Amino acid sequence: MKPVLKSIRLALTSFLILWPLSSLGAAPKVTVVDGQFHTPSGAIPAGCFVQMKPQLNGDELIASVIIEVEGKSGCKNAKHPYPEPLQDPKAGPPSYSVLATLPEQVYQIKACEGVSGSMGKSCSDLLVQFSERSFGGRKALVVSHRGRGSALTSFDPKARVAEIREHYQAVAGNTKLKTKRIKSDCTNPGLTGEEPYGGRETLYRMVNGQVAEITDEISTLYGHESVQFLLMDGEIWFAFIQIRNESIPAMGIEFGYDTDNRLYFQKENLFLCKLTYPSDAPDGIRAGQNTEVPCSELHHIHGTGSPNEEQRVAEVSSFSDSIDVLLAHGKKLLDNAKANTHTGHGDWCKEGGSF
Amino acid sequence: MKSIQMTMQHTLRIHLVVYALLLLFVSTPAFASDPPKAEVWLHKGSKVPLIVNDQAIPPLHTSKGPISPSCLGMMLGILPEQRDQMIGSVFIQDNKGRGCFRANDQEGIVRFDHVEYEVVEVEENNTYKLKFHALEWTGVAVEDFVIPTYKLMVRFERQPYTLEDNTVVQALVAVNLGKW
Repeated sequence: MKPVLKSIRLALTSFLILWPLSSLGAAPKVTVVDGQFHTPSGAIPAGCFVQMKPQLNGDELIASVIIEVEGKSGCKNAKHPYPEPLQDPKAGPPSYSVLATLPEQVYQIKACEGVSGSMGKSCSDLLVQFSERSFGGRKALVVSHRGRGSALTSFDPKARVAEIREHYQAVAGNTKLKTKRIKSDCTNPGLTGEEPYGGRETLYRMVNGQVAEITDEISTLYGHESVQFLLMDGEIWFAFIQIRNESIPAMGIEFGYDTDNRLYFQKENLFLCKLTYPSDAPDGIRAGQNTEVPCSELHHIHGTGSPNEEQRVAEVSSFSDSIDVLLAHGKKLLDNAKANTHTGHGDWCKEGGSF
Repeated sequence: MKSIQMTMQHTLRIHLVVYALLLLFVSTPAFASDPPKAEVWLHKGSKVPLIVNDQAIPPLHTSKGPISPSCLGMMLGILPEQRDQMIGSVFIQDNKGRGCFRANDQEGIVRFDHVEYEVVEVEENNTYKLKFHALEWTGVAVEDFVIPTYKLMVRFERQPYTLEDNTVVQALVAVNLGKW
């Protein structure tokens, strides 16, 4: 057990030192790549956004556009993502640029329609919000026109990441801070006496009397997993999940890929996800490379494995099967610390190592 | 000369078909006894358009008047030859821009030459099952007018809309819930 915990601590320390600050993405399902919105199946045509723009005659009718219905129909796959009557035949195509990223999947964009003549184009600043809803009984990704505000306080993801990083460096692994550690060893007296076969250890690190870091580590016969929460005033800012497995090649047992998962939150809304395969990695991915990914693609955090079950995929997390469950797990641990009760912690062994 | 004749023939056919549609509505009235006075309601309790001075009055009304068929019809798809359903919702009013009631061109991107709707069922939460009767130019190999019927479920709801001065108003929006 101790070597396992040591290795996790070493990894966490490495993470602290090597935390990269690369390009930034957007909320689940939709990412910003080269200044354009993408879903997992590719770029969203500009026309899908520009048709919500106020027309030159002042009309403003379209309140939302269906981007995809379960990845198929919708504006993204339409013959004409931009309605032909809106397109001036002598003018350039519609275009847009992302001006600002705001919380809750809201973006401020500049949407431009082509206009013939010297004007060239007509642009408007729009607030657009991505969401999912039911359409004809199927799940649809929708972008809604939320207005034309221009002076909102922008959410700057880079600044937010820098803020999280600064807090992390001050707190995570800081041995000068007051800590509390709860540890449970699971034993199986029926088979090999009291020999431990796994366990769980939870560490709380305090800043000014408040919990600022929680690390929950579990170990079983099949591997181990840790989740580290970074908190500020009771709010989860960041989560780092490491999933490791004990493959047994001699027995032909090969588990899923080990992963490191970095989840960044703004007001407990996930806005950035990064994934690393620390040892071996799927084809086309370099092991050890920390890569920004659409949060929806972290299937192993969402409890669904991978859509393609034929391939070897990332091992599924034991802690969570959704981001909501992950946040709830962090809140439960925080509540335990506040109430100084850790009964659930000891029960973990009795429950056979599951939540 | 030929094009003028064709235009006149088309115009005549449009009027005949629309008149037939409206007669069909009037011949199957369905009146409710107590029309609800919510944000959207059935005008005089009728689920079908009422004919007043040869004009069809759409059945769904707000405080600003009847909700136009063209406005809701946008959600059925737009343009001849383009039946992609991608309009997720339409501004009806109160967005301070030009919702349906203040639009200069309500029919700009509607694919129909003429469209009317009737309410088939009033559901909970301001949700309505609508049936559209349209007059549509096929625009394909055999070019002709057709009179298709479309079913659409629509929910009316208030959604936040931020004005340029960053004050937030609640716009009335018709949300496309798909076919029923």
